[in-house]
Amino acid sequence: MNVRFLPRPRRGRMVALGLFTAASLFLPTYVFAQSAKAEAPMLDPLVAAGTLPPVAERVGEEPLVITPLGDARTYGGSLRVPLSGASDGSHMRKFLGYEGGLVSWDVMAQNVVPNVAKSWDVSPDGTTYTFHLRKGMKWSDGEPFTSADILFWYEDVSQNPDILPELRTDAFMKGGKVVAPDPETVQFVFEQPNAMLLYTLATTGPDWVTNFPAHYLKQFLPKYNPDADTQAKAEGLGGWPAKFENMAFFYQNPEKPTIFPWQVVRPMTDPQQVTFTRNPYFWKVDTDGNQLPYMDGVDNEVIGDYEVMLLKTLNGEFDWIGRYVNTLENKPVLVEGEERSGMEFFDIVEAAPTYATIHLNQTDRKPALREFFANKNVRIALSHGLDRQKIIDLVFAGQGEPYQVAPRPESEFYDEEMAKQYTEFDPDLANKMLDEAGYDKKDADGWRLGSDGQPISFVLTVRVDRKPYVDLAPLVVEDWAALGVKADFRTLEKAAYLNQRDNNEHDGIIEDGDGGMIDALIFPRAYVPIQGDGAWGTAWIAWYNKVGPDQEAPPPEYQRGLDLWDKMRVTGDTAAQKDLFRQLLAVSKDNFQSMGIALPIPGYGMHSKRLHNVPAQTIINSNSFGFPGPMQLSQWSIVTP
Amino acid sequence: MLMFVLRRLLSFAVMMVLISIAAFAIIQLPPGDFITTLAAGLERSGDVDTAQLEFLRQRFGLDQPIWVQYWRWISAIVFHGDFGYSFMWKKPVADLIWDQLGFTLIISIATLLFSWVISFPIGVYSAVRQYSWGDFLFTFIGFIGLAVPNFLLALILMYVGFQYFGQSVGGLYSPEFQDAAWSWGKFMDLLAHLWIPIIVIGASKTAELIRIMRANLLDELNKPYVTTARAKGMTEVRMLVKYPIRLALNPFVSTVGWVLPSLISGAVIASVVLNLPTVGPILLNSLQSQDMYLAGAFILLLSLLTLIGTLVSDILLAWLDPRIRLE
Repeated sequence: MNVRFLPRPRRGRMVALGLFTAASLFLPTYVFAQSAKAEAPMLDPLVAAGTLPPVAERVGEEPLVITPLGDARTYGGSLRVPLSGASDGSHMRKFLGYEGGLVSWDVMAQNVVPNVAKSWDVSPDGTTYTFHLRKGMKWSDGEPFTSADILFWYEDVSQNPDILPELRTDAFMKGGKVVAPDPETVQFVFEQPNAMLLYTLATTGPDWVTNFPAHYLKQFLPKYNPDADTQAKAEGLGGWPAKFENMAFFYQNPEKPTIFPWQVVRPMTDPQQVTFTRNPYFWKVDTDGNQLPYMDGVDNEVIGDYEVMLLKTLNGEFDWIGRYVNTLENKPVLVEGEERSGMEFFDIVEAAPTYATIHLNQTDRKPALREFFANKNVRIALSHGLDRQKIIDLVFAGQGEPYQVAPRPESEFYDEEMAKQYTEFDPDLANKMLDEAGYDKKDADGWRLGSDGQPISFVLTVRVDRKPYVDLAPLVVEDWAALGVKADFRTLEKAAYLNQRDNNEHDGIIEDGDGGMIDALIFPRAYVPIQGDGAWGTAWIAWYNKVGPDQEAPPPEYQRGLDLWDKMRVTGDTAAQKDLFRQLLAVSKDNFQSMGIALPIPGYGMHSKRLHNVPAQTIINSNSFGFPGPMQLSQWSIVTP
Repeated sequence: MLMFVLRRLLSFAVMMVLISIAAFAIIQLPPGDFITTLAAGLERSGDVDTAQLEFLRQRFGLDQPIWVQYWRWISAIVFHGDFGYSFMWKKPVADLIWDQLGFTLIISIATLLFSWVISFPIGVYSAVRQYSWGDFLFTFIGFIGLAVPNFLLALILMYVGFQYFGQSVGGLYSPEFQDAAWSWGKFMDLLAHLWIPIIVIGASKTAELIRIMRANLLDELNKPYVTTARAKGMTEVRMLVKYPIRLALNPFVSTVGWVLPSLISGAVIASVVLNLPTVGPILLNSLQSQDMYLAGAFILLLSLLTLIGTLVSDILLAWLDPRIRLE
């Protein structure tokens, strides 16, 4: 299959028929104009009684046709999954709130494919994207879904500063606007070419532009309902924004019409179980014309403790484990209990290039440390000083190979040299390099002295909720102590940690790995200082984004990366964009801004034997790709033997 | 007696004000606020806008000085019965707390009854048959009960339940009864699940009461009035029930008021582990995410219940034991 990362801007209609030739077994294929013939048995009585119109009418004239990923075509049953609690909105987003985007990732997150939009055109200059919507598509209450709903999101939600940013997701619309020429057409128009729009619309967050039923939500906005604020206050909510938000989150409000496969019945406020039931107006059908979803509903059992989740998994109480329980350390227990739990394993491709990244703050507020960290040879020496194999053996159960922050071997941007540079454990070389860098003087205890004549001493901050990092921090400290570099580590609670980091109060940080796959091209925060996660240059990030303390222009070698990123964002041509990304990677390779530890082995997940149409290998587990949403949960089928 | 109750009620009010201030201050102690936590969550998706967060901070009034925030919070509760808004659940706090409080009360009362029923006869037996084999056995079990942290006991019992009885662990119902209407089956299912939390949470309480009962009764048994009663030919059982046991009952009654706070503080972890829908886990969660109005409402209500419990136990004690003066 021709793997295309970015649909080239082209004249005329870019229909998805090209993708129909997809040879891969696991790819759903998309064709048009097939009407629905069958529906779930639970809906038959409703249609017979006249409560619901016939299925062909409900799915509309142009339902999305999906080829299921397996042979099962059975209706019924409820999916049982664990949920860690109300704070886990991201489970809802990625699990049950992904299937309604304008466009979507395909199963392996290689291509952007049609979803709510049946097709799109891009103007030759890359500034105007025209999306064509499906004729006759409806909300779960039977009201038509039209371009007015997307316009409503743009005008009344995204541009409304009183509403939670999580719902507005307006960041990608800077310098752009939405217009709706007719009910079945919607246009995104930008002042400058926008090369990222299709990717962005497929990621979690912006995939919600279609999530705002205007006919229902208008009643909560003062613009349309002068009493909205008073009504909200009468209910004990601070004002209309709180009420609006409360009503707009699909997992909070059973009354809100949806275009997702399932509609919430027991909302997230339930302390025990959050349940969903089928949307009778869902607009996807399988290749035989059966209306999706196959499963009648989804039961999310709320469980606060991960050990309890593990026990319940072993007891065979779930159909799908893709989070929480499927850790490296739980694998032996799960394999042992395979028979009892009745679950099967599948592989989850990793997106991260390294289990953990060590960022040393080159914009540190202490001048001597800043000078020390900004010296590339010092960073190289410290990297050579790390015994990565020991860390892999002790912390990661011997799984993985030494690796830097660089594209993964599966990526088309893989560069072996970049991935492996400075990874060999060589304390002699490290010592020599530190001596040559001007840090050859030591105090009585053997600690190297900085330019201010004081021993170099700094703190590595670790998030307390990231157990492997807490385990590996002492090993890093020990390796560097052997070089005469005095590091300590401190664990901090998540919020306090982020607070410290974004205020540029940190020396060093051990964080997640990022940037191994195509997500790096969409948002290369691992390689250029554009977002807080790049904690090696917090003051530069603040400068680039014009927010935060200590704003400071980066030195030329980092500015080059930023220039390339700015150019990438307005380059519509795929080949040219990839070329720029390669240049950006080369800049990062040369800068060696942060050091990685080891390449993670593929992850795993589990599904019950009764759950069918799950591929043996699934997509990259990363927030950008809405795992497991892109495999279209609506085509999962429960077959009880 | 009436004066006593009135006086207690007055000090009650003062106490509540102090508790509310302390609770609010403690909730605010950790660095950052709910917006920081929210930003931490959004960070992953890469679209945090600092200006936006500042705006939200203003909307929730988090940029105000702490005493202003306190006054807004407490005045809304006192004058309008409005407990505020839970940031995390995006709901009014009042919509969230009652279910959990209900379950908490069910489990608390069941645990209290359990520990009374078990500890009372054992305590009496241990005292009357001091240094017998039975006494040693119960003393041994009692000390284990006191010493084992309840969350560990919870994990062990759950493992046993899972491994040997194939029971669905955690929670109060099996999945199939979760949504079902009340029926005999559901009730039995509830009972089948309830024994684990009751034993777990009640174990140390029971052990404690056994020891106290035993010690108190032993004190009484050596007093002259017991000898007198025996000398007058009273039967042993009648004598025991009529005098020393009545006196030894004090600790049972006086601890009624402590049951709630001990359940909340001691059983949070056990509740999280056991996946019980009590206030423990939700309180812990709200504290971690700095969802301050929710946390504040819980702490306030629990303090109130504790104070009421204390009052009730004071009154009961005064009624039970004429030696206690009301002055």
